[in-house]
Amino acid sequence: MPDLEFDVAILGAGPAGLSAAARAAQRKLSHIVLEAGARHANTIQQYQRRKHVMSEPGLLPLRSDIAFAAGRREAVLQGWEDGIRKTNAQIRYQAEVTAISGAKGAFRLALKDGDALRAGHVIMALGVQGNPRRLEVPGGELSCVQTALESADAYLRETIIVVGAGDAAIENALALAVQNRVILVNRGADFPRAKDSNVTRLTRALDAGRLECSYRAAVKLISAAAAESAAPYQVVLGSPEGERTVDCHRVIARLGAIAPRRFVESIGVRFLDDRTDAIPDLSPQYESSVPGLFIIGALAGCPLIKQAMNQGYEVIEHLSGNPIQPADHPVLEAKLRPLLGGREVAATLDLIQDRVPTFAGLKALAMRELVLASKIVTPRKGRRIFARGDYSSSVFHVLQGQVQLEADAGEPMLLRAGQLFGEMSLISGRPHEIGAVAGPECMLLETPHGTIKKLARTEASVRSYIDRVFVVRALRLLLLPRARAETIHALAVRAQIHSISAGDTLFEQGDPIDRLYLLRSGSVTLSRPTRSGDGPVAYCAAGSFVDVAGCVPGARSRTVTARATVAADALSIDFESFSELLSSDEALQRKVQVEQEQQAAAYARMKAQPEAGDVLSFLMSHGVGEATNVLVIDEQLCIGCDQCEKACAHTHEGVSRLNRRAGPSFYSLHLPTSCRHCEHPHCMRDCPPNAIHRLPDGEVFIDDTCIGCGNCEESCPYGVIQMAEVPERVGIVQRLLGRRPAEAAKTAVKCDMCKDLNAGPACVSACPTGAAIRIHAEDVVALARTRASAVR
Amino acid sequence: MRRTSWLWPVLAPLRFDESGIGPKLMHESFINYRNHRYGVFAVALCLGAVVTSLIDSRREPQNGGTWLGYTLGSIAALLICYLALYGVRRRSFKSPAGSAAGWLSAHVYLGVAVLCIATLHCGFQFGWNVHTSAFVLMLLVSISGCWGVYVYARYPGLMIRQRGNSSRETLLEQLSTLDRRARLLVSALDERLQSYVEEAIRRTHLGGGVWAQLRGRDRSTILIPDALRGPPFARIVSNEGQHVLIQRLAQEHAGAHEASFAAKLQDLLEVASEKAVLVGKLQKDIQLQGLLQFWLYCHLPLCFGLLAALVIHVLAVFLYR
Repeated sequence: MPDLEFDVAILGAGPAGLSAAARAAQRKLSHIVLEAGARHANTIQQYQRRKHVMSEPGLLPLRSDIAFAAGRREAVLQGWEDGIRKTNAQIRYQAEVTAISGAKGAFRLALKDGDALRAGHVIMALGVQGNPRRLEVPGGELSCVQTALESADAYLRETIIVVGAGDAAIENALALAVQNRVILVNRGADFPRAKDSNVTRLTRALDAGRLECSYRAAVKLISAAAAESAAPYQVVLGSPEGERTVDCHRVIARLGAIAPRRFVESIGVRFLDDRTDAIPDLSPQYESSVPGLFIIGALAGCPLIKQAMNQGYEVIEHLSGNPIQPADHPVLEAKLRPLLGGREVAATLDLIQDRVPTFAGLKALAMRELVLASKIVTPRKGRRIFARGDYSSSVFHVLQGQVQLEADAGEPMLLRAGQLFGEMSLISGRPHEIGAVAGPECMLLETPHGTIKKLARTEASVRSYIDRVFVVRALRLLLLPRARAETIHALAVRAQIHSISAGDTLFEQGDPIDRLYLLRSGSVTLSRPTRSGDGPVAYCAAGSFVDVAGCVPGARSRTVTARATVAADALSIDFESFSELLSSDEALQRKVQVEQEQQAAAYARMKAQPEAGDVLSFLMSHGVGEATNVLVIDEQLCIGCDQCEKACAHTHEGVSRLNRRAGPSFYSLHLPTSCRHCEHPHCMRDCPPNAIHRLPDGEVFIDDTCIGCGNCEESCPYGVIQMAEVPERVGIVQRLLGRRPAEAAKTAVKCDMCKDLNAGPACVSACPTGAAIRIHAEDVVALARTRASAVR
Repeated sequence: MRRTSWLWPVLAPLRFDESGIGPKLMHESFINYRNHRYGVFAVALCLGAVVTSLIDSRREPQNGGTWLGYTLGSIAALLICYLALYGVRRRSFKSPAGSAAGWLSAHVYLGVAVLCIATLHCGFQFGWNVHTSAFVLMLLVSISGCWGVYVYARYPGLMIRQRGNSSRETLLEQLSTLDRRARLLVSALDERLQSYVEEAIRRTHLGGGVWAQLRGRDRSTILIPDALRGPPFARIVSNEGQHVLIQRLAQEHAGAHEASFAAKLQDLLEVASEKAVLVGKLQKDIQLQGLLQFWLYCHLPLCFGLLAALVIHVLAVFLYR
């Protein structure tokens, strides 16, 4: 039989694929959607029941023949099902494509079931979730085996086997264990991929006997059980102790997913780089490096539903010979208005790229994304853009006019069009070291940290440019405020950047002193080995020199080990260049001397008080090293009245964002589960609507554009973000009149440091005995020392 | 920077500074709050009152009806109202009126100062009347408050020490682990012992009503079966400190003929003894936690009684002068 032929083959029946198919049906293009699963929109089908699906970004209009508006998961899915029927979009389910060959006009797609078909063009709308890994064992295809859990409440008094060692497996197992017997099957001996908070919860549940866990174990066989047995299925589990048979009702395999990238690359599509979150190289019309093959949706770097649907529509319009402006065109036009001056949007974007060297290497699509996430601001002359000591969550580029940077020492720096500022705060996650004031006719592009960090991850050119600027500015600001530009540039060329992950060392005791390290981000502890392990003697935060005290004249080797407490970045210059500078610059000599004195005194004090070192180690091992504001309770003063939690709930719609009892304790210091407002907030890393912000005082908070995706909850290593339904407040009078609070969607909630209260965090001000305080990571040494002398 | 409201100083007259939330500040208890600021203020107030009374007593005998008597009475009444406001502050979580610890510090020191000022106000004239009843109530409120200060200052540290630096949740988890171990050990032994151990576990008692919590006695019991007459004649006896179980296990151990049986019983005995210690710790913890809250149940009603008596005292003085 000859292969079926289509104008367009669309891979994936998610929102992007469905929208493309619906448009193709309208345009009378012969088309087929090939969906590996059994249902449309698999990712959204897997959302928990009644979850609220948002339609961000609100500014962007929807362009699709299929309806979509924010609402319950069920309503959204129903809307799409109706859309499929009405538009007569052609979908083939259970049709996994295994290979694509051929070229534009004559692609050949091979399916898993052995069929093949031909298509003129291929649109990939696969998403990034990939296909879940299945249990490749005899019986793995039985109906009792599932790869997702929609709702743990649906099962009661069953025996359920959960396979996997990641967060999904642990969370499912814990949720199911509430009313079922659960056996967690882990192939390894521990849970290296899971979040610490999940491992802690699991360990506690295992200790309490709420569920079982088989380590170094695997499912060998699944079969229907004999009629008289307690459960309908039988599973054979293999482990080092031997095999055992368990009667069970279902098996939930959470083994991760096979990412679609390898498949996409096998067709010849080029990606921008090797990182796991890299996106393919695409034209403004979403065409990949393989002509005739288009990539849209999350795989193309657009994780939001509306964007994906718009792209599906636009690709089909492009294929039917109707060039239309992308849906974001009017939004961009409005954003760029101050800069347009009669130019087209595309030309204006080109102009920005010409002026701003940071973005010189960007593709047109990435540039559009960037400007969509940014905003153009035009501060009046003399207006302070940010002050020294302010936290910020934006990076600025000068588009027009001038900006003056004011440091404590040295001449103010004048920035002109194209230059960037705010990069030190971006890299260190700490407050600005210098202030910025607008000059005449100033126009700036303000980009959120999250956007620029994501861009720096995917675009090497952006990363290296920002690094270069950082090195020059850091050298000038922290080392040589009065040096000539040539001196600094000559030194910058020789500077190196070192990235180390938590627990790794920058240098060890006994290493030769060959470089001077300046910490750019994160923090390190300096320690000396003692009989009972490492004894910390000092703590260095971003922006400080590491172990200058050890760099005295004549010293050859390090007397301390520098170990990162969290992922850290350091800048270094070779010791000879530094010594040369030192001999010629008196101001630098004084500065280094002061730092040496302080560090030497700190080493000695800590050495004399080993308990303080223990406390410091405890605090560091629980992530206080990256905190800008962490709640610490003195158990000697805490009377357990829970006023802190009550105050938190009372000031935050009845949902407390802190759990006093949870969290570790040491030397009567207790770190409750509560946000630490990290220097580089993990939660801000991947927030689709950019709803997480940082205020000048450092508070990290979530605004009401949260779409409830749960990314931040997953990213937070301290488990301080919860997904909660924040109920609407209805007064007694209105209740009596019959008004009931509207049903609320689950959104992410976390500590916002009571930013709207004049009195500061309610948990602290409500503590009657003074047991609760909030401190900055810089104060941990002082805290450790007072603690060590207070508790004997 | 955060600014404080201009309205609140009226209600928080003793607030001299920002709310006491500075990032540089280390833990500071309500007693040491700001270097005993309110303590110093209270001492100054008392000294002032004593000296003025001494000087004034040469002119006329001390009495509530002299100009000094009225002044001291007014100060004491205002102070009592201010002290009662602490209860309001404690419950208004959005209040910009300073930290609760600062308020509590002022509450404690000024509460003691009221004793001195009110005594000077009454001129040591006591009798069986409504005025003295207000004074006595004030005395009781003050005493119960001092008890509270002692409790707050001493018990949290005591609780940590006696729990051995672990949380109550950890101790409870340890308890259930011990129970599981006991069940596992006894599962290899005969049925009589199994039911004995099971009964001891089932009837282990923690906490209870108010009195039980405050007394902190181990009220665990155990069911002793009657081997001859059958289940209806089984007795429930106290198993305080697991002593009945331990005694029984020790008897079995002494009469054991087999080494493996004796070894199992030895393990079981150790588990039971560990459990006895753990239950003791938990019981003590519950007792201390109870005492940490109990004083307030005396302080608050007395306080409301005092406010009522104060109103009657003031009205009586002005109406029946």
